[in-house]
Order: sequence, then C-alpha cells, then structure tokens
Amino acid sequence: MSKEIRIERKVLSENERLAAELRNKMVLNGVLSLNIVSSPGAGKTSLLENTLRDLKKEFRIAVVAGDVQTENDARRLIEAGGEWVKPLVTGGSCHLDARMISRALRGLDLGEIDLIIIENVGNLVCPSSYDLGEYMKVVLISVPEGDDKPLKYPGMFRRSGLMILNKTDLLGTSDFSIDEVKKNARSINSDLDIIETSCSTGEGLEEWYKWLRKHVKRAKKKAL
Amino acid sequence: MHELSIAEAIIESTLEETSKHDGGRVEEVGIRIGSMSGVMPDALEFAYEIAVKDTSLKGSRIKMEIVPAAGTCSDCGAPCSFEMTPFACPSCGSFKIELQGGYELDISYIKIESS
Repeated sequence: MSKEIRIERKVLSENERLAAELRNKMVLNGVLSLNIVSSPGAGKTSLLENTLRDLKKEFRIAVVAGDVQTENDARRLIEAGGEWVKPLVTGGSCHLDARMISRALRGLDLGEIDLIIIENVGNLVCPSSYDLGEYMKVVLISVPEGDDKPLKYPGMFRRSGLMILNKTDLLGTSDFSIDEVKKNARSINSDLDIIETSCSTGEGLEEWYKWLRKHVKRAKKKAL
Repeated sequence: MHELSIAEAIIESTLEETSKHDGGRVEEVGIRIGSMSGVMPDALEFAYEIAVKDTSLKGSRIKMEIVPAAGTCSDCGAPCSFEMTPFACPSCGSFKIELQGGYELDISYIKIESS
C-alpha cells in the first residue's frame, strides 16, 4: 500500500526565497539591480566598461562580474573606474544563483549604492531559471549573432525587460536586419524596450544611459 | 539545461518533506514541468536515476507532467495555449499574451510506501 502526499513546492524554492530576500533589500534601500545576460562575446563587459567610465561621477555603482573561469572581466571593470567590483568565479556552474549573489554582496552597504549590475555567465539558457532578486533582466545580443536570435531563446527574451542590440558598427557586413530582429523580439515579448548600441564607436550609449537614469530614479522614488 | 543540479534539488526537497511525514520509503515523486521552463524531461529522468543512487531515495522514480504555456490574449481576451513560441493569439493574431502557466518546475506530490 502506498499513500500520496500533496507537496506543491517549487523545486527551486530555496533560490526563490533567497532572491525574494535580495529583492526586498534592494527595494528598501532604493537600489536598482539589473541582471545582464547574453551569449558569450556579445559585449556585456564592454557595455559595463563604458557605463562605469561615463557614469561613475553620476551614480554609485556596484558590479558583480560572473564567469566560469578567470577574473578578467572584473579586472577590466576596475580599470574602467569601477569602485566596487566583485569577481564571482563559479568554477563550473553555467549560471549564477541567488545564494552566490547574497554572498558576493556581503560587506556592501546598500544605503551607499544607487545601482547594482550583475554580469551573468555568458549563457542564454540556464540563467533564465534563476531569479537573482533583480528588478529586471537585460538581454544583450550582437549583430554577428543573427536577427533570429530572439526566436532561439524565447525563455530568456520573455523574461527580460530590455534588449540591447550591440555591435551596430558591424551592420552591412552581413544580411542582419534591424527591422527583422525587432519584429522577432517583439513576437516573443511585446513589452520589450529595445536599444541599439555600438560599444566600440559609442553610438547609442546615451540611450542606455537615459534608460538607466529613468530606472534609477524610479527605484529611489519607490523607497521613499 | 543542467538537469543534474535540478535532480539534486528535487532529492533535497523530497528528503526534507518526507522527514515531516515519519519517513517511509519513497516510491515516486510527481514533478510538474512547464513547456517553457527549459528543462528537458528525458534528461531530467536520466539525471534523477543517477543522482538518487547514493541516497535514501534509491529505487524511487519521478513521474513528470508537462504543462503547456497557457494564458489569455491581452487584446481580445481569448484563452490560448501553446506548445512553442512565438505566442500568437489564434483568434486575433496579437503577440500580447499574458501567460498564466508554462514556466513551472514543481514537486506536486510524493508517493510513500506505507507499512
């Protein structure tokens, strides 16, 4: 004889619990936290180098730079002027989770920060299941990856609030179509904001900074 | 996807739940998987078989229920259900779909052998 016990519990409930704790802390302190995801090489670190260089006098920014191996990204970000940059080496895990973020943020006084950016491991599959307590996921893709990219990773594109299309300086070197990538992205997520950038020429970065300003302001307002 | 770490999380949660119910040998764990969750059922089943071997849940199996992505069209209100993206409303063609399900990864039940 066997008995069936109803459980109705999320498999990743522990991660959800820690993520909710993180989210609460951010909201209470008026901190905007962003989880930046992309395939490897799309330009997350370049975007953050530019952001730190250009906005460090305007906002107090903390960065957690995740990678499977090396602290190369964290080093680049410190050189770009990042005052609080924590490398997070997973050693093998294909995604970051809330426990790793909680640990990485130990010692950071959230009252002294306006913006936390988590640079996730280069992967558009696994990180989509792991809430890091962020306000929003920002998905970054680049021109060489093709304009059907959003259709290939619907889970991630659906869960993001902003899409950044980077390496626009390479338009014309392939048959990549901006109209097509926007159409594809919005067929997966009709509410997605879309910004086009080139981290090498600087084109479009001001749009990204405008977007950041708007959302940092919003986060501060909520805390009051 | 990393089904092995998901299998390990299932085992951890199951052990925690069974300790609340005076133990007993676990025969089956019911898992609900949303079609958009990114988890592959075959891979999860395989990973579970491996992960469970050195635990007190050895011999148990998982039974998976796949849940489609389901919701309502924000434009015309029609209920919709999808096997895969893109999500376009079958009535009006809108892409504005509010999903109520499809991302689940839950333990729904545990079947325990009662002595």
